[in-house]
Amino acid sequence: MGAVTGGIDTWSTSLMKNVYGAVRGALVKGGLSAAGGGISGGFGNVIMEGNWGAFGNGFGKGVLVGGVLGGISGGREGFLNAKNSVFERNLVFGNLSKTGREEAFKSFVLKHELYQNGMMNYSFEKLDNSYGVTKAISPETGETILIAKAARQYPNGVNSEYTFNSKKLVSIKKIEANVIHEKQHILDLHSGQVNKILQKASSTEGFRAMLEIRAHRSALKWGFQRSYNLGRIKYWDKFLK
Amino acid sequence: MISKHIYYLIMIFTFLSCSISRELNGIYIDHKRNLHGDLILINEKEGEVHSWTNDLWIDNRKFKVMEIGDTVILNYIRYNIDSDVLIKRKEGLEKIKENHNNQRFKKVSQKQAKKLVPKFIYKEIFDK
Repeated sequence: MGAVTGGIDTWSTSLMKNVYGAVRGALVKGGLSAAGGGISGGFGNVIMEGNWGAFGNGFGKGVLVGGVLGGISGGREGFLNAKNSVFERNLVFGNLSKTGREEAFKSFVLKHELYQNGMMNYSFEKLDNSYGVTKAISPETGETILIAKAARQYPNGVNSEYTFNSKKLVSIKKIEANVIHEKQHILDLHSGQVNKILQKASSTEGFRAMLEIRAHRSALKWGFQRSYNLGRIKYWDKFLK
Repeated sequence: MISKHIYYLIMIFTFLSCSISRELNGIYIDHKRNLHGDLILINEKEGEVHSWTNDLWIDNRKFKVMEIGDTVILNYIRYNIDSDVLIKRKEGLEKIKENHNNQRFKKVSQKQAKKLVPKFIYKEIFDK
């Protein structure tokens, strides 16, 4: 076990990121303990000698890494686990397929506790100009309603639904940033904060600017897309004057 | 004879007032960088204003239209707020704002509106 840790420490950061998915799949479920001390040398060889570009597409590489690691870790189970996990296979190369993006999205929904904070459900849809959309839900009819209507009529808050654009090619980082952005809208709707924001706003423009600034600030707080979020905050800020 | 003249005058006046409204009818959009937008929909003497961001359907207000020359006044029905005043321009309408940062609404066809308005908002406005 100690040797495994030592081996991993010697990897470069980028390779560490790349291999993370397969390592997790192959090692954790593939029988890490069975590999013992010999595993570290095996990894070193794969990383040092492997010519990544020569092995074709992400799928091939994923299966290869999964296979090598699974094999090293001493189990068919490890190989199968790495091979079968689309999310992990995509994580290996940071280039997510549609299924990979959906899997990544689902994992971030759980990580950021969207269900606990007012999201009723989510769906995947092709959207034109955004990564995700939040819609307020009427507690009476269950239909989607305007944000301003939710703010005016339900000061104690409403639940919402989240539509994620899994068709847009984005990185894992952007998926998580969008989950955090939409989470702020979801929270504002759920807590009734939108009502207070509406009362403060002097116009519809000001109202939507305040909502968007809060969401961009939230993503910024989590350390996501600093320049993008700062740029957006600056843009929306114009509408508050 | 006189009553006939009055009748014709009334007919002409009715025709003119109708033609002005018809000219005003349509979809007007102020669209910014795919981030947000506002749409004004005018149908005879009534209309709606919709506002959105690319991830939120913000607001929808109904209004009654009043035309005085080149000025169009939107009298909102449900909300206790001041009316908006629009000026007729060659390409559409211009909303006069206190900070002089006036909003220009371009008259567009339904096909153009479909391209400019996010799909999830378009459905709410036109497909319901």
